[in-house]
Amino acid sequence: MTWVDERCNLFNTIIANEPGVKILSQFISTERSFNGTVVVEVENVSLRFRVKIPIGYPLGVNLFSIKFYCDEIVGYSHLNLDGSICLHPKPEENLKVKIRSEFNLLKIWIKDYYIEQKSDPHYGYLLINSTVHACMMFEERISVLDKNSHGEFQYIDFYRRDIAKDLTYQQFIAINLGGRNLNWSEEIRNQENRFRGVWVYIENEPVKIRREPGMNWKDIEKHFSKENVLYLLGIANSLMEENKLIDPSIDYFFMMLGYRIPGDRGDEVHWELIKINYSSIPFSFKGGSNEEEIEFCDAPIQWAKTVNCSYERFFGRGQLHSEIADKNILVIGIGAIGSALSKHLVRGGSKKITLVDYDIVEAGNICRSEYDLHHINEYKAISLSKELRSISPHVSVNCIGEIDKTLPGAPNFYKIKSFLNDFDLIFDCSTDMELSYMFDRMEPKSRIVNLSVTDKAKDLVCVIGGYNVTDQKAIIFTKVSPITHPPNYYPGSGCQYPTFQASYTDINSLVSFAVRQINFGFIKENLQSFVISTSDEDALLKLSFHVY
Amino acid sequence: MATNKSKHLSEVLTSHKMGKVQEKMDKYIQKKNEVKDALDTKYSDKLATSPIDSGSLAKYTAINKKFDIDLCAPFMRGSFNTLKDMADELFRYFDEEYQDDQLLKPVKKQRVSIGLEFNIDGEVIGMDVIPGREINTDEYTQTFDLKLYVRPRDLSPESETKTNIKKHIDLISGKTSEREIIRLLKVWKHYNDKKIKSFKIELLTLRAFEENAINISDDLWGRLEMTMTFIRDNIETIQLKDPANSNNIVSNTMTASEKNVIANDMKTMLDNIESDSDFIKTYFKINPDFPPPNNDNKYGRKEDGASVLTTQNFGYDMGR
Repeated sequence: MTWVDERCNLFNTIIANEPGVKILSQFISTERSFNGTVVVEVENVSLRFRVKIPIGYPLGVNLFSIKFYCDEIVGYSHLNLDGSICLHPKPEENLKVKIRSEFNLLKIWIKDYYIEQKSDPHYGYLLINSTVHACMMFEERISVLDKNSHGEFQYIDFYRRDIAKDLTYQQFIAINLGGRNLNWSEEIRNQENRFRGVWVYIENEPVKIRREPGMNWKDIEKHFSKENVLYLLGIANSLMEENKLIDPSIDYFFMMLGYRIPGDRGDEVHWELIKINYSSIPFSFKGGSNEEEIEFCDAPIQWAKTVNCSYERFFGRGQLHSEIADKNILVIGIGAIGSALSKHLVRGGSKKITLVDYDIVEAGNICRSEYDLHHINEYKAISLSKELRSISPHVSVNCIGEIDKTLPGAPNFYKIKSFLNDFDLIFDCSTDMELSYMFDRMEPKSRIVNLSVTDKAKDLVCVIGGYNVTDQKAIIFTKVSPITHPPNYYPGSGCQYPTFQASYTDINSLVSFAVRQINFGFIKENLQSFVISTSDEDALLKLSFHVY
Repeated sequence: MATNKSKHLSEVLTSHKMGKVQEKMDKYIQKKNEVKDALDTKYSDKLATSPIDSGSLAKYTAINKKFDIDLCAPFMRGSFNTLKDMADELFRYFDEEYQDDQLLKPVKKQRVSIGLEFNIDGEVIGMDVIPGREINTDEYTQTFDLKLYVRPRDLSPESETKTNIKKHIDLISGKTSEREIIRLLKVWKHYNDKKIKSFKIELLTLRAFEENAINISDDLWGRLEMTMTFIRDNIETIQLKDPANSNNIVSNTMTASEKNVIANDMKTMLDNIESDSDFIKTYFKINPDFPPPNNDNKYGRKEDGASVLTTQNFGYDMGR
């Protein structure tokens, strides 16, 4: 008997002995699974399931283990679109124990969600099978709208990629929705070339029955008021004309369908996206022009995807302290350190960043900074600003070529000081000692954080100003790894730029820790200058930390 | 190269003397007198005496880098129905009635004072005017006690507090050694962007000197080190009372975490200066506007050279 046959017998025996479980068709093996059919009875309610056990059981596939498919019911919580029940058993190496545990979970699901139709404390989003390769980003927090209110919304084309021949996936951002402007970065809010669509707030989930999403217009007819439909019919032509001015090939418009869902801080609005072709608008007046009677077509709904990217959702899993994230930040010098730092800031929730660098991206920069091949010969500030905006829709990024250095008494002194005073935090990653000297003399209101590393990134020095950065740097650098050789000239760099050795990993491991330490300093309201040093003299790399 | 700590500290104090900015001071004092005269005229029937100087200038603990000129207006007991009326009226006066082209608007309602800012020849100087009311009729000229209105803030409701500007000034009067240390710690606060209130620095320094009275060093660094050590070891447990109002426990206005930060700052400074005396220059900086006569300007001496990397650190401009 083969291993597979033995397994089949084993499953048939164990499952036949499960209380309340009856095997309808014996388990047989396929290349990737063992398949059978069972009936499970709970509190005198019986349901039939197709059962698929992974071939490597008790090891699962991705996050899933045994799949139970019920083809006779729809619209229940934790019932997937393919009819499978969404269960998450704990890892277990004992096969019998695991099977018992999984059938127990199935019985609990039948009792809680099929028989008693319980609601979870956390909202489970409707599972809608989208047929359109498009996604609309919106941001909603707590929001209240009147049932069956409607209106126009605007959106922009944010990103598109080819997923197959003649098939493009598109990502859009709604600029306003539900009668309010959405809270995105300044760049997104001010973007032109806005498409127009319509929104309707239907209040309740667009379901056919229970939690089964409507897939045909007839299924969700009951959610719309006559006024909603009249509005849609009235505005469709104007949407078509306006949208064609931006993209002549466009032959559809989008509808955002809003409904109330429970949120952590009260009810919020969730939106679903529907594509409507101009040529097949899914409702019409019965008998031609009689506006009293409207008819929904018997036609499938073209669902697309949406995603709520509110600031709270976007950064909910981890962000930097508000003393960083909410502040106006200037990053001077966006090479290896500055570009990595900027990405940390944006992924940490920063909302406003200005980048300063006069330089362009060269091929030799790429190995240790946040630039890509396609950035070569572009200004670093421009390249990085695009990268940062592609990370977060909540960050506004400005670019500046350089800051004129000045001293008290110079005619531009107060102008430059006034410009710098607008920033709460200045990250100086430039290694330009003259700049430190200028800040010390100028005493801007901004807090200065000066970051640099030594040869081979053995040390990262972070000097927190105050107006004494120059002096601090001068003495701290006498404490770190002594310089053993002059900086190297690298081919293609020109005569201006000798530099030391250090890889992306060498530098970024220190920059990451430095950002964490600076963040911790803000949490504890205790910002101090510090040095992180590595030592490779022994067999193990050692890390040490010193505050100044 | 080792630094002579006391010599350096002495140069720090010299470079931060108010006399170095006499011309500027004269303008500021003139401005203060204008405000004083205006209040005298406007409230001649309500003031117990002319407004009096308060703040670091009056206490001789100011440093020339950053100083405010403060005034306290002592009103008579019957001048206003409530302390709030007094504070609101003085705010209204500066906000609406007081005429001075150099006064920057808006005038700020602060916790116990009205915050004025004047643009004098391109520099902005702050002036806090504190309205106070005598506690009993005709008593001010004997006791100098005043009640202040404390505006509500965040979760704290409005309240009142007692103060005595004269006691605050007298507390430091004649205490030259303590004043030097207070001024040094204010230099540290200024250049290192520290948040501790100057009044707390004063009380901590005075207490350090009291508790080490039999062992005061002849040496300036010795006295500073003694004070910093005292703060490091005691700030988290000590109770500091306002000498003008024993009900005001000043130390209670700092959180445990804020006290820990100060203790930690002192420890870091002491440890680093102990390890290398040159560190004293980074914490206690000579005012670059008034360096000692033999101190060359660093950027006058800078070695120039084509395409030479002069630092041992790098970030971006050499990051190719």
